[in-house]
Amino acid sequence: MLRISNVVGGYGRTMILRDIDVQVEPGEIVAIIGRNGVGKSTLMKAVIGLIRPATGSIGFKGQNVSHLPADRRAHLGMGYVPQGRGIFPGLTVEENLTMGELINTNRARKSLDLAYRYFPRLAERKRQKAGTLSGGEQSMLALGRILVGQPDLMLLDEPSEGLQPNIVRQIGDDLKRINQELGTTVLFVEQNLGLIIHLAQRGYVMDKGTVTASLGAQDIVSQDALTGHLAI
Amino acid sequence: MLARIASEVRPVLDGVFNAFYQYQDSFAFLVLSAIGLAVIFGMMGVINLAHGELMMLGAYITVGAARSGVPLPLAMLVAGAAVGLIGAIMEVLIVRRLYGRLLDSVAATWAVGLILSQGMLILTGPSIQGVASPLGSFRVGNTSYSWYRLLLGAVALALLVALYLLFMRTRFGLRARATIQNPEIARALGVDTARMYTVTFALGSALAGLAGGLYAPTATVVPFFGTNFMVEAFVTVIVGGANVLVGSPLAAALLGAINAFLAQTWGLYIARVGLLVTTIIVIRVLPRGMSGLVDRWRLRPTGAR
Repeated sequence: MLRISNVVGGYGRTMILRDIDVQVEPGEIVAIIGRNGVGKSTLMKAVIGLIRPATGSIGFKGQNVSHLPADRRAHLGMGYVPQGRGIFPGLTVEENLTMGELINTNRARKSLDLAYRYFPRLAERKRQKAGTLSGGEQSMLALGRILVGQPDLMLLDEPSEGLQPNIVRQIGDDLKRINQELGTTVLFVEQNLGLIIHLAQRGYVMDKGTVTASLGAQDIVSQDALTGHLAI
Repeated sequence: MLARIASEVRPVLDGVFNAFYQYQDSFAFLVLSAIGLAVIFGMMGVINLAHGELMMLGAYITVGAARSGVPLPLAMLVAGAAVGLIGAIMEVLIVRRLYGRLLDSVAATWAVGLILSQGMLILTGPSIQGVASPLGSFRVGNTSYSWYRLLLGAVALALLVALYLLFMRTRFGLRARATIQNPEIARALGVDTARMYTVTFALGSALAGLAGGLYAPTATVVPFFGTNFMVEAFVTVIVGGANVLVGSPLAAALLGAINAFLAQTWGLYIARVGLLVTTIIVIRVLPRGMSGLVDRWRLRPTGAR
C-alpha cells in the first residue's frame, strides 16, 4: 500500500527526516511513535505531499508518487488528517464533509452517508458551522470528511491530541470498525500510549528524524513493553 | 379638493423617487467599481492595483466591438470574457509568483496597470469615439432620468446575487471558500489550489472588464478611464472587509446612502470627502470591515454543544 524508501527531507534547507524507511501493507493499522519534535508530522506531510523529499521515494499502491503534489495524491486515494484536525471553521459540517469528495477519484459514488453512518453526531450538526463544534466532534468531522472520499489509506497526525480519554477510546473504536468493515489502511502518528495499544497492529519508533525500531504486535501489548522501547 | 391634495403630494413623491434614483445610482457605481477588486482581495488576499486598467480595457473592448457592429450587451459580455482571459494570463505570468508577498504584488500589479494605460495611450491616442448611452430617458416631475442608469442598478444587484449563488451553492464556490480558509488542507483534500487561484483571479478580472464595459456608454473612453472608479472601488472593499459576499453589498449600501445624500446636498466634491471620512471611521471602529463584524457574529459560540 505504502512504501517510504530512504526519504530525506524537511523545510527548505533544514533536513528533518533522515533516511526513513517505512512500509505499510493493505488493510494494516500501523503507528509511528515518538516524542515531540522527532519529525513525525514532517513525515506525514511528506507522505501526503505537502513537502517534497529532497531524496528518496514514496510509493503508493505500486506507483511512485514522489513527484506528485498533494492534490494528485489525494485523488489517488490518500486521506490526510493533519495535527489539529484541519477542519474549515467557517464552513458548515455538511460543507466540510463535501470537501472530502475529491479524495480517491477511482471510487465513483461519493456520499456523505458514509460519514454519518460512522459518526451519527455529525448528521445532527450538519447545518452548524464547524468552528462551533466541540473538540471531539471536530475530530469526528475530520475523520468523516476523508471517509466520504473512501480513501485506501488514512494518514492521521495525532488523532488523540487535545481529546479527553473517553473520546480517544471512542475514536479508536471507530477507526477499528472502519478498518475492519471498509478495509481502509491506517497509518497514524501518536504519542498517546493508550491509543497506540488500543489501535495499532504494529509500529515504528522515530527519534531524531529517523526510524530507530520496528515494533511487532507482541511489542505493543502493554504500556510497560512500549515504554521500554520508547526509553532512550 | 382631491386636486389640491394631489398637487401637494406629488412633489413629495417626486422627491422620494429622486432620492431612490440617486441612491441606486451610487449603490450600482460602488458595487460595480468594487466587485472585481473585492473578489480578488477577498478570495486571494491580493490587492490588484491594475483593477482600474482592467476596467479601462473592458470599456475599450466594449466600444471597439460595439462600433464594429456587435450588439452592445453582447459587446459588454465579450469585454468581460476577454478581460477575464487577460487576468488569467496576468495571474500565471506575474501574480502567482508573489503570493504571500503583499507589497510585491501591489507593486507588480501597479506596474501592469501603468503599462496598460500608457500602452493604450500610445496605441489609440488620448481618447476614442465612444458609444451613446442606450435606452433614452424618462421624466418624473421636472427631472429627467436615464433608463440605463436604472438598469445598471438592477445589473449590480443581479451580479451580487449571481456571485452569492456561485460561491454558496456550487462545488467551485465551496472549494474556493475552503481554499481561502486553509489552502494547505484544501490541497491535501484534492483541490488544485493553483488552478483555483488562476480561475478566481480571472473571475475578478472578468467582473472588472464587464463593469468597465457597462460604464463605457456613460463616460468618455480614455486610457485613464479606470481612475474614475478607483476611489469608490477601494473604499467599498476597505469598508466591506474580506468577505465579498457579505461585505461588498453592505459597504455599498452604507456608502451609497452617504454618497447620494452628500452629492445631492453639497455636490460631488463633498460626497467624495464624505466617502473617505466614512472609510477612515470604519477602519478605526471595525478594522476588519463590515464583514469582519458579521463573521464574528456568525461564529459566536452557541449555547447547545
